[in-house]
Amino acid sequence: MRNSNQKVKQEYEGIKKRINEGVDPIDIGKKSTNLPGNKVLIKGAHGRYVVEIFGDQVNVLGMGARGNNRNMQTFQNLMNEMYGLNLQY
Amino acid sequence: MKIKEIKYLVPPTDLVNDCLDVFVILKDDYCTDEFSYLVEVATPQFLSALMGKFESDFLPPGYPYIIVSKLTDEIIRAAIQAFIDTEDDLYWLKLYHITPTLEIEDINEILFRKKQENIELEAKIDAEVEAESDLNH
Repeated sequence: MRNSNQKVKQEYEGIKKRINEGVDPIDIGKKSTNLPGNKVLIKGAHGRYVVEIFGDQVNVLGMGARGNNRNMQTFQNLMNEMYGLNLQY
Repeated sequence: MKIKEIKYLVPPTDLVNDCLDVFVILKDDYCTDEFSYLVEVATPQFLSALMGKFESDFLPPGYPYIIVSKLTDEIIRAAIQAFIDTEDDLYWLKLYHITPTLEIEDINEILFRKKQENIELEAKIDAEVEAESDLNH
């Protein structure tokens, strides 16, 4: 049975695969957003993923499950604190 | 109930063509440091662009959006306030917030509970109508 964590995991695997295939992270997901410091927020159907781009290399820094409110709140706080993305307004 | 605070996961990059994750903090029993209401707000142009991106004549299945003309604080706040005020007990805000958290088991449970409630209600009404009809004869 698919639960929200499994959906996010599947989506995450799909995103990693597309990144490895050389797809620009900004073109992945329904609407992705450039963030300061060569980072991109990928908005998937089930999750939100922050990736960092170093030349050809793309690292996934963090993710939040859209269906898990506590997790999304933690994701927002972590991104704000750890990467100085100033996501809080 | 008035909104205490709204926060964005990221601010909009384009006021008329974007979607945002919006955390809504209220002074109620649900909101804490770790929990707030979370809704997605989008513009019509974003939805149109989304169909273009997927080369489709319809939007792909997805969780519901609150639709606004422009992604300004003022309009987003007003829209969310309407979702709070229009029905009792924050009905629309809670509905949009809870949808992404529902598993298929939750949906099936609600579906069959509602089915049973409808059957019981119909039987109750039929019994009342029959009793009333007996009294009149």
